[in-house]
Amino acid sequence: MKSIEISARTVSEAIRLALAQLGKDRDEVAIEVLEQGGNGDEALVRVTVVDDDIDETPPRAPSPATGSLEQTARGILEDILERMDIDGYVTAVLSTVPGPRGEPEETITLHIEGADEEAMSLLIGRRGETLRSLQFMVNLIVSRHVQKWPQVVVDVGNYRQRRQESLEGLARRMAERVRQSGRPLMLEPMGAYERRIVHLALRSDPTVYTESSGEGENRKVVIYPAKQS
Amino acid sequence: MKALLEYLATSLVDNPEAVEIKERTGRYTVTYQLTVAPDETGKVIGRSGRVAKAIRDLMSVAAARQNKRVHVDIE
Repeated sequence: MKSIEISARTVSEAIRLALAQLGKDRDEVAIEVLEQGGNGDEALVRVTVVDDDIDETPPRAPSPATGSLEQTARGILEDILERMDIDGYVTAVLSTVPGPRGEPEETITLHIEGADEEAMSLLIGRRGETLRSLQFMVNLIVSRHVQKWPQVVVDVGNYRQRRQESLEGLARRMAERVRQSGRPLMLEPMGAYERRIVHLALRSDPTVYTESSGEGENRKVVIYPAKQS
Repeated sequence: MKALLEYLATSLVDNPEAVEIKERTGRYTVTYQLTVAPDETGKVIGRSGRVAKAIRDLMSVAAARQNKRVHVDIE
């Protein structure tokens, strides 16, 4: 099977270049994102031609349903963007990540790229609120189409990764403060996804431990100094 | 804007023919009144209004593209 790796400024740009080079359509290849890029780093993708030659096809070829799932999700997001009057280029990437119980879970990530910065920041909204609503809506409509609940992540111009990096930085800086003062510190309210990023960022730090407290919209992470033993 | 609301509402219900959208245009604000089949209101509102919030958030983006504000009422 022919496979190439291409780097470019963004994931969708790299995919576009790779497809052009291979002379293939999106549905004829498997796409893996090796590096998300952003913050001056280049994105790196591996694009593998899915060969339909009988001799080369592995016994468990990707089911056609999987391909159509990505296309369904991409189509729905494109329908929404079009009706919002937003020009965006959507790339669907299928990846398998370990789920909460360690079992593999298929995730479809829809990357939106657009030249209009103002439109892109509208899609993200304050602290990613609009992006969360967009993702929720896409998941809801996709699941009604395919009668199951696949995990669909919607990202705009690498916003999620940038946000993750900034939350990890925040977590480490606040942990340092807790270490120095010996007193717990409460962060601002965050959604479940963002709290999880903070918990994970500090999980391996033996000098502090973290807990969430508060209810609903007000739930926030508290960083405590490690208990003296 | 109306096209977006129509798309979202009809995608969320089992009975898209029952979806009705009334539009009232003010100087700055556009108000939509969304009606779906009585037994399907829950599908466009959702648990603790999550779906309704998503609809309104997305409608706000569409409105902002036209320098307007939008208000969505769900009956």
